[in-house]
Amino acid sequence: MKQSTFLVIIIIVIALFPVYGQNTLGSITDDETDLYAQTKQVNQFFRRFNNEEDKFGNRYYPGDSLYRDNAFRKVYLEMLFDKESPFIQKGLKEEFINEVTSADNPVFLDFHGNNWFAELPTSFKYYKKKENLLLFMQLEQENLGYKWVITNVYFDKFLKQFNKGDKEVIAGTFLHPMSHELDFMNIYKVFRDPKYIEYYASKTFKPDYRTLLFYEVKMGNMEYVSVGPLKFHFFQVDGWYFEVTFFNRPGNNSGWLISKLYRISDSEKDALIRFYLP
Amino acid sequence: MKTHFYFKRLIPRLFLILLVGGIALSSGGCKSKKKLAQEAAAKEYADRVASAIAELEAILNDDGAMPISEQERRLNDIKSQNLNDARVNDLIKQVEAKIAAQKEALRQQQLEEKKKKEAAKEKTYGYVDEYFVQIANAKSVEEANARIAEAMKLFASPDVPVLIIISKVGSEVDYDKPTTIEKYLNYLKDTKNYNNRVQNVEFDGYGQIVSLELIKN
Amino acid sequence: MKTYRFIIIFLFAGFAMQGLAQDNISPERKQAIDSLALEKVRDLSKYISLIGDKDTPFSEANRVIDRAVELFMEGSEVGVSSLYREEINYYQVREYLERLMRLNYSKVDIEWYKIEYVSDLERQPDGTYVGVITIFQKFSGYDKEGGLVYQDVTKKDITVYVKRKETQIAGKLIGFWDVLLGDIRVKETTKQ
Repeated sequence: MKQSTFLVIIIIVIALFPVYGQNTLGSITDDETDLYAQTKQVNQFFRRFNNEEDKFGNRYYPGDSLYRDNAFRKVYLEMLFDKESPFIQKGLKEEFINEVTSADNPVFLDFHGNNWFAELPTSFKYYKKKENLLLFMQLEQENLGYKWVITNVYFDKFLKQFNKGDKEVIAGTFLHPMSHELDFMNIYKVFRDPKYIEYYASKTFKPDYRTLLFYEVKMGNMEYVSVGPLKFHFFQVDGWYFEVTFFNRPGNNSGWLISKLYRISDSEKDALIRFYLP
Repeated sequence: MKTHFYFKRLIPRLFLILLVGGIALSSGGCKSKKKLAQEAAAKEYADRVASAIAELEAILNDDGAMPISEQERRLNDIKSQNLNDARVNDLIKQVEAKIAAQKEALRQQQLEEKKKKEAAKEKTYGYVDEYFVQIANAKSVEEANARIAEAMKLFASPDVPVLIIISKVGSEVDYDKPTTIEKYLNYLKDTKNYNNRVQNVEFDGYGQIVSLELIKN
Repeated sequence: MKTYRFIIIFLFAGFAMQGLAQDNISPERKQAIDSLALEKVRDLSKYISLIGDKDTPFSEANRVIDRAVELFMEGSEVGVSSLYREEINYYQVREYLERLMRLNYSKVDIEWYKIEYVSDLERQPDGTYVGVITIFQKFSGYDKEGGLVYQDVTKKDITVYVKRKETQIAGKLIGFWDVLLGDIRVKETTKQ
């Protein structure tokens, strides 16, 4: 068993060296080892994770002998981790790889399988000041196709406006049950101190930050400026969370790589997903 | 009229009953009659085997005079008799092999003829291909432009449609977006990429090309 | 009543599945479409090399720009960022190519790496397929004395739209794949 793993490693190492074949794009330049090794697209991250392509990026199809081959996956998965990340414990990584490549119950990533989210940092001009927001997004099916949709917005300026305040004041923020007899003459109290308005709402009230963002943009108070570096959150492997980020650097450990890896319980998973998909 | 019909229908039935009765009776009949019948049957069988063998050997020895369909008809005739004779069965196998070989040879021949025909067709379009190769491999823009001007004379107009087949799977033919000959020739000049070959050409009454179909190599 | 509803739902689910199954294009045809998309990207890379080449006459370069623009869906943009400035600058495709033509170097070398990465083709809600092809380019700019004054390597992620269309040509119905390029993300990976 050990010998065969060793063999696979050797095969992959050899594979990572550039191949001099037909020149397809005109003049060739330099050494391409790094470019072959780089996980160039998120799509390639999926295919490498599942072993759905060969070392040159040519697709395997169901029925091909190496399609989703677990021995190859073990090697590729090792390369899909950011080797410089302080957030990845070696032991944990090995456990993860063993688990997703287990012979009985291998786990594959599914592009259309939900439970993975994009986190896109953006900057907006908000009342003429530049502010940073996070947009969370997910793939959603429509007709026979798919599209990315915004699932949540994280903006501290919005967040600060809700569910804050003095505990003692909060304890007294309600309209007493006989208010109706007085034609709700006390309703003005709700709006007197904006800081506490939300405590007069029913307990199911949850601020919807997307609505706030859209409204502010519609009112012209907020204007899109730019995007920042993208990352992805994956919950497709039961009991695990990992983050995927693009590493724009030389060497063969570059491109879209796993930058964080944690074991999580079901309740933690639910809580995290609720953050991306409230 | 009616009774006549009735009898006509009755006769075969009576005949059948009589026949069955006859068999029943004859089975209890004298030995010599039975032996005689057996001998007659044996002789008939031997005759049939002999004629089958003769016919099968004739097919095997035939040097191409008998058409394959005739050989097959005769073979099937013999097979349907179920003679169950070792020699006949052996010959049947040989004849079957011979027919199969002849069929394969015929298929090959037809395939080759088809290929030759296609090659001949392609050869007649070879001069069109040649222009495309020259334009794609031109050393300079001037040379390419000169070749384009020459090639354009083959075509009825600069807008002659050019279709490029990208794949043929079963009856499903996929094309690239149709273009025109003028655009295509300039494309060859700019990209130096001619990875197609001429599949079909249509001419007008003046012998000029009015439509061109290429296929990816 | 409940079972009826269940059956109806089941039937619809069946239809939906069938729709998806019909959508499945055989791997052979998919590969032909992939190669066609790749060919368009290679054409673009050749056009870019021609446009950037200082030896290409001005009129020729302009004609090639027209041809290159024809490869794109209208309104496509090029989003460029550098190693030191992550913010993306946007250019219309034509604008991007014209800037390339007018670059102030005496000699320009545009080389393409052999590697070309082709993503899956994914269907959008409107039925068009979309994919991304990644290529890498090395750009070198030289001054009058032939000295290298600028060099960078960029990763180019090129959107490719593929749509099945039909047209009549000389009375014959032709089913073709319309391949158009879309937005391009240009990311600098190394600089010298």
